[in-house]
Amino acid sequence: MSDQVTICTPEELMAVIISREVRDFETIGVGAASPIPAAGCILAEQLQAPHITLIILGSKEYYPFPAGSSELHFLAQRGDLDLFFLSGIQMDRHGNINLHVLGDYHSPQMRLPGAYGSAMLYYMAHRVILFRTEHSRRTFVEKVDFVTAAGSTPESVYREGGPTLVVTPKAVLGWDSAHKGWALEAVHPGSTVEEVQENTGFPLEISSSFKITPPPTERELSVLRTVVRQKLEHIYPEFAQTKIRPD
Amino acid sequence: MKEKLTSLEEAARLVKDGYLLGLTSSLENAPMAFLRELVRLGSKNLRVAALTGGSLNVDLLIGAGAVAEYEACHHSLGGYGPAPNFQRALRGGSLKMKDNT
Repeated sequence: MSDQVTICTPEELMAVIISREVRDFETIGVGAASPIPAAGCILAEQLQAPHITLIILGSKEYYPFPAGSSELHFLAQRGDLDLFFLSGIQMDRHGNINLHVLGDYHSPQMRLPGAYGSAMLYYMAHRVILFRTEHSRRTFVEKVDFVTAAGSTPESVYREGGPTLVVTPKAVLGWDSAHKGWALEAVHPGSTVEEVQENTGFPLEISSSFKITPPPTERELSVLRTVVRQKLEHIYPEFAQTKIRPD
Repeated sequence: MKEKLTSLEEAARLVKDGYLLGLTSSLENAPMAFLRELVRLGSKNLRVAALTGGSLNVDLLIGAGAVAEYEACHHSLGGYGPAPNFQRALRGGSLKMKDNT
């Protein structure tokens, strides 16, 4: 099993996991600074989901609109976006994400770029998959310092979609809508339940469908490292060259 | 016919203290020479609304101490990373930020 882990980079593993979540015929948006979801979606299109409509910000091949990001946001606002990806410097047990500040909002220890539409997208995309390459207690906190986008909403507020999964290099957390919190859905080969809990700043229930993540297949890795890598070089050249291994 | 052309300096002088400037989100169509002229004129207390967010354009004004209030959903130097003047001004409390979604 440990051999399986070392055969790919954490980014490759996360891209493969994301690709398996993509369903054929979906309309999918990939926002700014999201090379892992971009790789995962292109991989899905090459494998099990050839009919997806894929919109990747910053791409020529995968951007069907004239320019800017507004069309992607409008698409979500109309309720036509099936899947979107978000990250955050902090994520908490209630599914809230923080893209604004560390510390106090009015005198921050560190200020980040900001929401960039994520608060709306978290409400309006049918499913949102969160991703983060750092699985640690400073990322997964009890409560975020600032709620950029809320994980759940009062019953009286209309909400088209919301959180579905969090994908990290160690595990997959699944959204439990009944309890409005995360449950441990899968642990990747080479990691353990204890290790994941140790690095998560809130208690994790174990999902009833819990499993060990099936490692990337030879076919997944080979398509990722050839066709996907090549397409990704036009969008995220540095990522494609350093995080996706040549076949 | 009335002459419509004017110098950069005269145009920049039209911007008074406390004015609200609308700027584009990055370097696309950013009037950098005009913004530098505002800095040279010592503009102060400007309010800036960036559509959708700001980049080097607004960061230059913030660094010069020209901006009192800033509304945007996003501010960074894009592929070049976080925006230093924005960061410094917010930590120091000299800039009032109005984040929108």
